[in-house]
Amino acid sequence: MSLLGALIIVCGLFFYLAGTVGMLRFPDVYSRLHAVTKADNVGLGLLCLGCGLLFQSWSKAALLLVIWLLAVTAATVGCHLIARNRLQQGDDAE
Amino acid sequence: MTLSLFDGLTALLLVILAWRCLVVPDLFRGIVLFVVFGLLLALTWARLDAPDLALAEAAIGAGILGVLLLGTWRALGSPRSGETPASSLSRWLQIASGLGSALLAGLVAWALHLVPGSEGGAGTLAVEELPLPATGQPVTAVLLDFRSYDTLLETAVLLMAVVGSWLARSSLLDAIAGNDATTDTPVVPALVRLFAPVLLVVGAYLVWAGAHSPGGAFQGGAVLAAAGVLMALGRVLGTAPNVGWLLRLLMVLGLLVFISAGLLLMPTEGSFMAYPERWAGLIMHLVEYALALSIALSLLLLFTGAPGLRRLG
Repeated sequence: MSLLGALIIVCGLFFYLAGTVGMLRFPDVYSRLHAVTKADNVGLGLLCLGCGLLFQSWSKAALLLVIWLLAVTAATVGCHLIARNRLQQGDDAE
Repeated sequence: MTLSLFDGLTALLLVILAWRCLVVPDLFRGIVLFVVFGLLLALTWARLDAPDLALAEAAIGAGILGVLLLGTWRALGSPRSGETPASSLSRWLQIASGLGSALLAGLVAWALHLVPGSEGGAGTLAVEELPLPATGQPVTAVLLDFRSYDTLLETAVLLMAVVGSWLARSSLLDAIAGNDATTDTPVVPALVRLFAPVLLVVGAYLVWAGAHSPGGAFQGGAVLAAAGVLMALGRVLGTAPNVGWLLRLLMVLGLLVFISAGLLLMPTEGSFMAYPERWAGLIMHLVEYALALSIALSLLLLFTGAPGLRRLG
């Protein structure tokens, strides 16, 4: 069980790495947003899942699930607002 | 081994972030770096087994302070990057002050090194002398009993800061809302409806938990204030030009309860803020809840910059 949890956490870290590389290397705001929100949400989900397996307790796993849901919601809205702001201001404000 | 590697990395990152935060030419980047610095500092406190400080740093240092700084940045009219005026100090003066600070830090470190450490440190002594040793949370008890005078003055300073911002009379929120295109999207009110109740529950829990586990008036109050900030940004709460009597009462409630608890027991106990052992726990709870309400409202009003609040929808 703990091996599976550790494996899932490592997978989650890989998604974080991919998201960070995307944010640093992608050319414009929209694709950077795409990289960060998509990859980091999956990464955080895998981290929470892995930690839940390591804790081996339902209440802690439920708490981690709530944290993941809140973080995903916040990231979605943040992404929406940044993209919207950029669309309205135009692409000249680099 | 792994943990010491992690701690070393955290310490290094803290110094780098603090340095970047000070020297970065762009004001906005500086603010973002400051928030990240606060979050990392919270992590450091957690690693040092000080969850109370970690909570306070995350809620106040990174959260509320970051929001206040960003609001101020917005109201400044966001100068384009690179326009920050260069330091007026000459190069030699900068070097001299840097060397002086380093010398002072070295002297302080040397002086602290010479101080003989007492057995188990001051913390053990303090916990032994606490009025409610078995039941209460030591941090909260120290804040409201040993350090009661300091805590009282901290709250008074916060109240004075709000009064000062009223005198300055620049309504940050209105300046922000005037040209804000992001508030008319339906996503933000949906987020507020989802997050505000959660934040209110978490804030209330932190105040309640302060009696027996990490948490307390400042941490809980900051989270409650964050819920208020969210509601203000989501147009659930609006600003009002006048401060109502209820708001006034709630803002001074913490100080009022704190001071009257200290004064009313003076005849029987003999000195200001000395509590009888039987009632100490109850009095601390009362003070804690009153303080949390006042702190939350004061922080929220610091953000809105307007004297009053009203419900919008």
